[in-house]
Amino acid sequence: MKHPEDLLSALVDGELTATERHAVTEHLETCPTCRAELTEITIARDTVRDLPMIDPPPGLIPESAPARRRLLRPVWAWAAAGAAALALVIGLATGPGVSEPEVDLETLANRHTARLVVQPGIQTVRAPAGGG
Amino acid sequence: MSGEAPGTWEEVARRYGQKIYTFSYRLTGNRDDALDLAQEVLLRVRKGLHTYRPGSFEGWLWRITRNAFIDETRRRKRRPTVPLAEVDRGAGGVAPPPEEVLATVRLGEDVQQALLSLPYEFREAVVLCDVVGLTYDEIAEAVDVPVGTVRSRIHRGRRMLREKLG
Amino acid sequence: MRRVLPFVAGLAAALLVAPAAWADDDLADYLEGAAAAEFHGSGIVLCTWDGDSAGTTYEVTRSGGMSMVHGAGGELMAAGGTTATRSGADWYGLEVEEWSAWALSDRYRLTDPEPTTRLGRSAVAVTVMEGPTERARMIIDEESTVPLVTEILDGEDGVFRVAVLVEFSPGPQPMPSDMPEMHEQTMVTRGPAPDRLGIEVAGYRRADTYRGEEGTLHAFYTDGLFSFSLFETERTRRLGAFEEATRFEVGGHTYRRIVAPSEVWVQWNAPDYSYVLVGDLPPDHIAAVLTELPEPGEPGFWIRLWRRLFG
Repeated sequence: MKHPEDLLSALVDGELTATERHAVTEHLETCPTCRAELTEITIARDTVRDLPMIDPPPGLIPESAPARRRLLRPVWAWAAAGAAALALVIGLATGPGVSEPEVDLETLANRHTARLVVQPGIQTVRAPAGGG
Repeated sequence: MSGEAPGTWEEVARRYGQKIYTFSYRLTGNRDDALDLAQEVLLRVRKGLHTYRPGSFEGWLWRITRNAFIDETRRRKRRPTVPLAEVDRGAGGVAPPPEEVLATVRLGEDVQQALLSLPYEFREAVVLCDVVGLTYDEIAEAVDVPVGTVRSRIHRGRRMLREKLG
Repeated sequence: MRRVLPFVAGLAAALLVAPAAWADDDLADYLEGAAAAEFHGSGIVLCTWDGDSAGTTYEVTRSGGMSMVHGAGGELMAAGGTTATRSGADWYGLEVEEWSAWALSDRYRLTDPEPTTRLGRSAVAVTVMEGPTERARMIIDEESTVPLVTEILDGEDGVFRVAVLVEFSPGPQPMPSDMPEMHEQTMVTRGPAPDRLGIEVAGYRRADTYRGEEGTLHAFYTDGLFSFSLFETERTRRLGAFEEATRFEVGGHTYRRIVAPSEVWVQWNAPDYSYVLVGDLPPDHIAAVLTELPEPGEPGFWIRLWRRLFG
């Protein structure tokens, strides 16, 4: 087999058929040039994948509940206050607040790996655990 | 990726808005251009959502995004590439102050600049694959080229990136 | 116990499984031999689950009781119960104080080894059977018993994960004499396990339960071949990376998953707690496990309100 080049990226992306995958991995066993290339493109791939998502400026994405502006007469003020209080109660009951801590995959991955490595298993030889 | 029913355009905007904006930013390297483009895409989604037929929703959405990007680029009569200011600064040989360098590295701007230096077709394939997370088939559908071309563009794009980043 | 000697683990394996059911000795020997082997290798690991796929390359060196793994995604050192991972220039250590003995489930059987060669070395090709189902195919280096190729099957003859070593040199390797200096080191201590987490879940034994930071409960399940960690936290945590994750259904309930090269992450919220499962087990095992763990669901309105107001 000549150097599979383009197929190396497809291999890392899981985009090869079983036959192609076998041919490429067999070639890699005997070809240091392709192994080096595979490492290089994997680093490039991970570098781009690690770029952060960017928050768009406000206004691009419509809010979940479109706010409607209403003119309130004094007679409705109490009812509105009651509705606002109810909305607050519903808001409180429906989801975590923004100040809550986030599920941190790195910490969990490390805890899993720390326990995993002390015993034999199918993954005796493997890459470090990661958050995807 | 799935062919799940997308719902209303607001739902599409809420679910994909950040991704569309990030995609646009990674292709243009400019926040204003990215915002214009993302707004244009959402407008087209709003107009065209009734024409979507069950299939790959992501393929459909990114084809719209991609077409909007190309139209916008033609309209401005320039290929999206490294902003001129960047080229000038590089050629002038004046080193930016250290705090600026630090900020640049922190925001992944070195990677962004390397992306912008790739020829458009390669940058587009890499961004659709590694930023947006499309499969090769979905990229082929969005860009309207054979899957073999997608493979080749992604691979060559990554190799160029690696050379730029050293 | 700080260290479990292989023969003690083997004995424990024999004692822990049900009477009249014996783990496959040859498979246990291969796995234990591989875990103790000294070598250097580099390879690729790829994982595919219904269109979600991930892959990476890595380099692994094991010698003198120490392991070093270097991948595009990070760097890891392990010796005894201490595992160090690098973040930027700093190393962060985790020390697991205690763990129970390794035991291989009796549900796996090995087919007769067929002689072959791989990377110019004598090897054997074997298939791990789970009842009538092919579960894994391996090509094992005869001398060291290190698997040079491992294919994990999804239960429907599809390949779920492939790990291939493309370079392999057995024998003692030059290694640092000590673990790196840690920027921070955390001790992982055991904690009690609540009844809601079964002792046996779809063939996986709850080997150990640990307490984590901020009240996180960590239950480690294994069948000796595959393993997973189940993390239980309060429901108030934000989902972070899981917000955009692929959704999938098991038994009419929706879960979110992230596929990484070496393991899969699954997240769901039950009425009382939020769960994250991470492990190397194949999708059909994940589905079986999920049906025996607390189901996804929402707490009643007033309970949610009470929690939000009073914690």
